[in-house]
Amino acid sequence: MLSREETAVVLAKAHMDVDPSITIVYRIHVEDEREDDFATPIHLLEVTEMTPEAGIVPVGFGARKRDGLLYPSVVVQITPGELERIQGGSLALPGGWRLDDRPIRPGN
Amino acid sequence: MREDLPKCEHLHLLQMACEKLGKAYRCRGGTPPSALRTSHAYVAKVLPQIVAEYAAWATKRPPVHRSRWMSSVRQLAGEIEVLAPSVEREGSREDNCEYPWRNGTGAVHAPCDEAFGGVIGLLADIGPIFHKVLRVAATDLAQ
Repeated sequence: MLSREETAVVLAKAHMDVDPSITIVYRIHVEDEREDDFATPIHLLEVTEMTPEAGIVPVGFGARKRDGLLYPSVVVQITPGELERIQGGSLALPGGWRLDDRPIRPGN
Repeated sequence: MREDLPKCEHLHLLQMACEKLGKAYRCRGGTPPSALRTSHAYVAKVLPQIVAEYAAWATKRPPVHRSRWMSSVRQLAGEIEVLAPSVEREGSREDNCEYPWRNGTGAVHAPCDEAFGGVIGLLADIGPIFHKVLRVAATDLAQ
C-alpha cells in the first residue's frame, strides 16, 4: 500500500506525464493530515504556464483504489508568476495549508 | 450531432455540461456551492485538469504528442467557456450560442446561423477522446 507521500509522487508524475507543461509540483500539507486518514485528500500544487491566472482554485478528485491510490486528491494549478507571488507572500494559500519544501519534478 | 439542429444547440448543451462538471469538481475540492453561483467561467481553468486526471489513468493513453494534445484541450476548454454570453472575453468576441449580437458594423448575427468554426474544428480533432473523458468524469462523480 502506498503512503501519502508515495501517492503524492505517483499522482504528480502521472499529471506531468500527460501534461508536459506542468514543470514542477509541490505537495501541500494541510492541518490534521494523518497517514491512516483516507478521507482527507492529498493536496498538490501544480505549476504550468498554460493555465489561466485565477488564484487558488482547488479541484477535487476521488481515490483510485483500482490503481492502488487510496487517498482522494485536491489539485491546484497555478502559473509560475502566481508561484512567485505565493513564495513572496502576496498570494496567500488557504489557512492551514503549507507547501512542502521538496518540489517534485519530472526527472526526480 | 443531430444534423437537423443548428450547431449552437449542441454547443449550448456542451457548454452547460462542461460548466456543471467544472463546478462539481470545484465543490469536490472544497469550494462551497454558494461561491460558484455567480459565474459561468469554470471551464477554461478546471476542465483541462479534469481531462488530464482521467487521461492519466485511462487504459488508452492520449496521443504521443502530449503537449500538443493538452494544448488543444486547453484551447477547446477556452472556446467552450466563451460560448456562455455572460463570460467576459476582453471585448474582442461577441459570438455566443444563446443570444443575437451585433458585429463591428452593426449587423445582427443569430447563433443559429453561425458556423462556430473554431470550436467545431477543435471538436473534430479531439472531440471523441474529449467526450469520452467527460462522460467518465461525470459518471465518477455519481459513484
